[in-house]
Amino acid sequence: VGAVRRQERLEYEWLFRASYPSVLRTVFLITRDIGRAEEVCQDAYLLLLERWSKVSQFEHPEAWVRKVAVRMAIRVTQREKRRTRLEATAQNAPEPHLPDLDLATALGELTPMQRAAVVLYYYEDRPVIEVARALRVSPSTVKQHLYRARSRLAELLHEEVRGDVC
Amino acid sequence: MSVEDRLRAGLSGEAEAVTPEVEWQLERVMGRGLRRTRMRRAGYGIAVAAASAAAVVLAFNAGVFDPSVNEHVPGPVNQPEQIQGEYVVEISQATDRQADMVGRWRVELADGGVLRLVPPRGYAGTTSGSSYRVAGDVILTNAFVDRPGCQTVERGSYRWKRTGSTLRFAVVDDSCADRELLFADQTWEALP
Repeated sequence: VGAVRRQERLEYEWLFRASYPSVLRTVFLITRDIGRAEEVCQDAYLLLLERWSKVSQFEHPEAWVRKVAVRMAIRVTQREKRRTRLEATAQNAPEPHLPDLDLATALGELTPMQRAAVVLYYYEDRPVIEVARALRVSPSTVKQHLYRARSRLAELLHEEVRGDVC
Repeated sequence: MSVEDRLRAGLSGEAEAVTPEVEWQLERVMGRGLRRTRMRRAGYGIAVAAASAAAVVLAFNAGVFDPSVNEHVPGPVNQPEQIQGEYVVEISQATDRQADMVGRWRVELADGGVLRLVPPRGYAGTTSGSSYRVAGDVILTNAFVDRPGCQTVERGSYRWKRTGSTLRFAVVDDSCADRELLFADQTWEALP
């Protein structure tokens, strides 16, 4: 029993080290708050730890934790957005360290779902079908989110839209 | 520049600005996991205690404890006295780091919670000051607390079962590998 537990723990730690930086970056792009992104990742990896004996049997355990983290990030961001709206405080203030402040501000204008779709599609370079699976919506809904996100960003940034969603 | 190009460049730039503290975060997740497990077990213990108390009340009301109704009430399977005694434990395999633990151990679970460990000749650590406590079928012990990797793990808990002269343990909660090696992975034989 002890040997199995030790082996499982080593495998978990290996996966954590290999996947955490990339998952954190994706979650950060959705939440736009590094502290909140770390909290979300903590919760997602804790869930992975608790279900490790089952999830480790999957072909891609890292895909499982990434999906969980993305969904958690969307929920947290939606909740946060509602809260800030209620408090009527300044919304979507850009993070001070972001290189493209206009883009950061514009991204803050998107809904959490639109932002998640944009991050998974443009940053993680995932096909629409995978984005749809991660967000638990249909591919056509993903395309709609991307279309609306691009249009809004183009308007805010005074840029043109190429429309490259396939 | 199109929106798409700006997005790709901008998002990558933002992501690169993040510097994850992987080891620190891993430590936090493992710590939270351990604490959650402990809390769940404590909750389970409370639930079991509450259920036992309810059962006692029901049994009392049903007359189970009335000697005229039932003269023989069986006691719990694992009694603390059952575990006390002297044992020998033969460790035949260990990792390189634990190589000094290989050999014959003599262990005494003495009255008053004193745990005496007589290690094999090649053992490099100290064994004094060890103690144990029995709570139902779980034993808690601080043995090997001075060994590398165990200093921060104050004690471990194991479920025990005595069958004849054989004592076996199953780990409940412990992250001290040396303690697990002596307890969870071995069979303890009672000395006559």
